[in-house]
Amino acid sequence: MQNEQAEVTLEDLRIGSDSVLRKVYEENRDKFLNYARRFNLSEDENVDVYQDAYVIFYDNVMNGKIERFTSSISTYLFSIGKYLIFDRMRKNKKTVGSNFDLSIVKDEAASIDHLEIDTPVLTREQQLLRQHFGALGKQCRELLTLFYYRGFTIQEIMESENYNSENVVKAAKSRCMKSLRERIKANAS
Amino acid sequence: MDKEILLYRYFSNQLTEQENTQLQELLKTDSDFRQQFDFESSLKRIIKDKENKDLKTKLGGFEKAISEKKAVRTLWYGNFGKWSIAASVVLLVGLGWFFNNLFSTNYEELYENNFQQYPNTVYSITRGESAKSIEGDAFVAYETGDFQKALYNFHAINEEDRNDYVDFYMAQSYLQINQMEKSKEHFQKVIDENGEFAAEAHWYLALIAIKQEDNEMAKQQLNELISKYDYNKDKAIELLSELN
Repeated sequence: MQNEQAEVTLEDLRIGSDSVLRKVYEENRDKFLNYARRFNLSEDENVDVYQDAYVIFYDNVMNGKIERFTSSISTYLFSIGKYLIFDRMRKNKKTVGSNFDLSIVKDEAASIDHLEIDTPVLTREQQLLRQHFGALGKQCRELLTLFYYRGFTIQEIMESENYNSENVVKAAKSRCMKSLRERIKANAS
Repeated sequence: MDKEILLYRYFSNQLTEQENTQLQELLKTDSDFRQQFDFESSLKRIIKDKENKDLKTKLGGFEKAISEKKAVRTLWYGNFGKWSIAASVVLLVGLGWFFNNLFSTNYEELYENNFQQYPNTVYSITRGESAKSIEGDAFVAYETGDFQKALYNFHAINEEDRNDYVDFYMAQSYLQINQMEKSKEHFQKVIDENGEFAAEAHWYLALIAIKQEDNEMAKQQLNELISKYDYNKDKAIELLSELN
């Protein structure tokens, strides 16, 4: 596995097997940490930033904001990581040292302008929705996750989950949504 | 275009520019449409939130494996150096001990290397909210490592209000205070009810079996995990090979 030279494709990431996720993590980790060490964060924070950058990158692959790779995966991770490091340093009230130039970061980060990086905290309603979603049956949770998170089309869901027809998938999805709405309604009354 | 189809195309990232204009227009003018759109957007948002947390936990696992690999490498070279000297003095006795240790399973070490408390991924605790519900109290206690209190509160939730993940976190809490049998009982319940954390429950049952040096049970749980789920699959395969 380690000798595998094949590039990880967008499609591989969308399927998201553990081995692909691990490969991407391991291949970029040392480079990223070496880079991050020039800033004044602790090693644990650097690892944390790397993981956060990875999660954001992956999320943007899933939500379709990254439709094709215009640069390598490591460039995305670095650009997002830099943004996060600066954000953290601002929050830690650490001064930005003179050994690097903010404008460079800005330019390179331009490629991530269209990405979703900051996510607002969940509203009270969304927290409730999350609880009700968690209480749905496994099949519903998986179906809705494939659709809303992985961005699968009805046809793709049919193929990957062995449903008999697209109509069966549609009906199942409607049932799940109905059940979710009913749970919310029951909770509100 | 049909409103349903418009929403469908929006959420499966297939909207054309023209359709997007139509969608924006409807959002302004049609309140039912807006409501449906907001509901589905919220759903997308919370699923994303959950998946991101799961991914972060998974990355934590990768990270742990990397640091352990480094640690094992140092340990191995260190021991080998020592034993090569010992073997030159009492060759037979030394080698006998060496092989014996090399081929027997060190259960405690396997457990320690693989055990990680499962983070709270289900209940969002925001500041000032801690006292709002019993479940909230339980998770606050869980996150702060007060497992006795967490259990007390988990038990206080009415049966009918109990979300299916509660058993999983009860099992985790029992595990933390070394009440293995109770912990096993709740993990088993998660599996029997095919709850959200069934895969994770197999993993932890395997770890408990390892701690209790029950090789057969550990293998059984790992095999179930590998054949049915993707969670920790690589680790489970690795662990299984160490048990064989």
